Amino acid sequence: MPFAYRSVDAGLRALDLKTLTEASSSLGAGRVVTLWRIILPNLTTALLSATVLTVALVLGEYTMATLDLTQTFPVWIVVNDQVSAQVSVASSLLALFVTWLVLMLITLLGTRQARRRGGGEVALFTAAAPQTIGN
Amino acid sequence: MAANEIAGKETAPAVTGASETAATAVIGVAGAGPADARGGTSVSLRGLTRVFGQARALDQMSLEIAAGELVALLGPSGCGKTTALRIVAGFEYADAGEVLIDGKDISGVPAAKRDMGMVFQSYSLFPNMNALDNVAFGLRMRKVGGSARRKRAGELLEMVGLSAQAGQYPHQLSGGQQQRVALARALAIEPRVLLLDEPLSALDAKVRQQLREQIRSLQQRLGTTTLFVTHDQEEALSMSDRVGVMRAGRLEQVAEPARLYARPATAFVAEFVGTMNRLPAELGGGGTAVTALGVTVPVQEGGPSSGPVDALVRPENLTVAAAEGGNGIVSGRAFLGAVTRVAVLLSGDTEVSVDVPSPAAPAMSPGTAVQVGLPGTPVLVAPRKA
Repeated sequence: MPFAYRSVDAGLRALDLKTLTEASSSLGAGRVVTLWRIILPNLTTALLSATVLTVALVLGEYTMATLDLTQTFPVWIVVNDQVSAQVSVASSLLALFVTWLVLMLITLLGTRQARRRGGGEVALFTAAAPQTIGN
Repeated sequence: MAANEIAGKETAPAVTGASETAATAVIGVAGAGPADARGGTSVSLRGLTRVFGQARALDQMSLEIAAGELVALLGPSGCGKTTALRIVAGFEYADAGEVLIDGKDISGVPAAKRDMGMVFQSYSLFPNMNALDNVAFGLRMRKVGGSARRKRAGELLEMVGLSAQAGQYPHQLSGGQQQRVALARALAIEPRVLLLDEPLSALDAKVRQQLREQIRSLQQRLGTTTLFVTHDQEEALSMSDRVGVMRAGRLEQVAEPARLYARPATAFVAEFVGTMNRLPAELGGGGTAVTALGVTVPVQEGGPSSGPVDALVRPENLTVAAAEGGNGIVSGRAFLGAVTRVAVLLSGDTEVSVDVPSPAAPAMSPGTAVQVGLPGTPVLVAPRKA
């Protein structure tokens, strides 16, 4: 949560939400249309960043799961380690590969979008762009 | 797929909104009579008051804007001009007073249904859309079909001279180009009123100059009633049919630019618009005549009729000539092109600026003794500053 929050927050800060919302409503758009057509599309980069972080964290999560006695993949690997080292190593590598694949996909997707729209790259932390204008 | 579904549902309320405004627009035109059939809309602000905590941003402000007119609100920052504009746009509400569009009170109408095009001070283009889609956004909200929408948006981009940039995203456009797209976007919905909130203040001088002319000529061609807020007097004076000078939430004077400059109603207007000299003066004749620089001239209405006063005189309305033992000494000069502004230190430590034709300026080198004179035209007086 905090990681996702940080990333989305940075994305929101980079937008001049007030002006964009007002511009949109002066053109006849209601609140929900504004959110859907203006705000969310401009947050894709930030949202993807949040996804990258969350996916990376969740796939590696062991501590909480094992304390909770929940059987997640990492927990399963550790348990199986005591039975068969071979299965455990194989599944570890598999997990590594899957994680890498997912992150790669998200990053590729995000960067392509961002390049088109001039946003930043999808990284672990999206930096807020400096405000172009004061009041 | 879910995305499209939600978007589809969401645009439904906007449809009813658009048809409602269309209906009111028809009523408005019908009410205005055949003379305004071209679509000109009149705006009137009546007794607008807005209080933020202790501060009165607007204090009983009233203004009438005729159909097709461009009125500028000019004033120092914090004078309430932007608040007035935002109330008209519907982004802000008035504590008292009303806004009438074609004689109809719109106070209860949300911004989205007011049919007003607005250009903002900060860059307000939607970053996720290219220039063409930005311009087409308002038409899309009004359910104009895809091809008609693109055609109209293309026409508007052509009108602001940016056809070639139609496919570019805001971050690929310069500041001036962005504001021109924003202008096209505001005009695309054929707004009843165009609202400009310091649209040029973020641009550099040269672009500002060009865009100023472009906005004015477009506005005149389309006959769109326009309210323009600025703190730049040059901008206000050069673009508007009338200028309203604001101070502390009130309109000090509303007049044509030339009149505002030549016959300011109050000392504040006089000193805010253009350069003004203050000359220590003596009132006489029961407040109808004033003596300054040893010359007695009639007093223009608008100032106090007794007490210590200063006479307010424009640099071009003073005369100066080199004279041994004159009443002043030249302390500096600035070449402004056709005229040169000469600073003269008068006895009594008053410094005044006098405009002289540049060919006559070489005689006025700093240190020269000069005689500053006051022609007999009426002058405005103001209470002397402590």
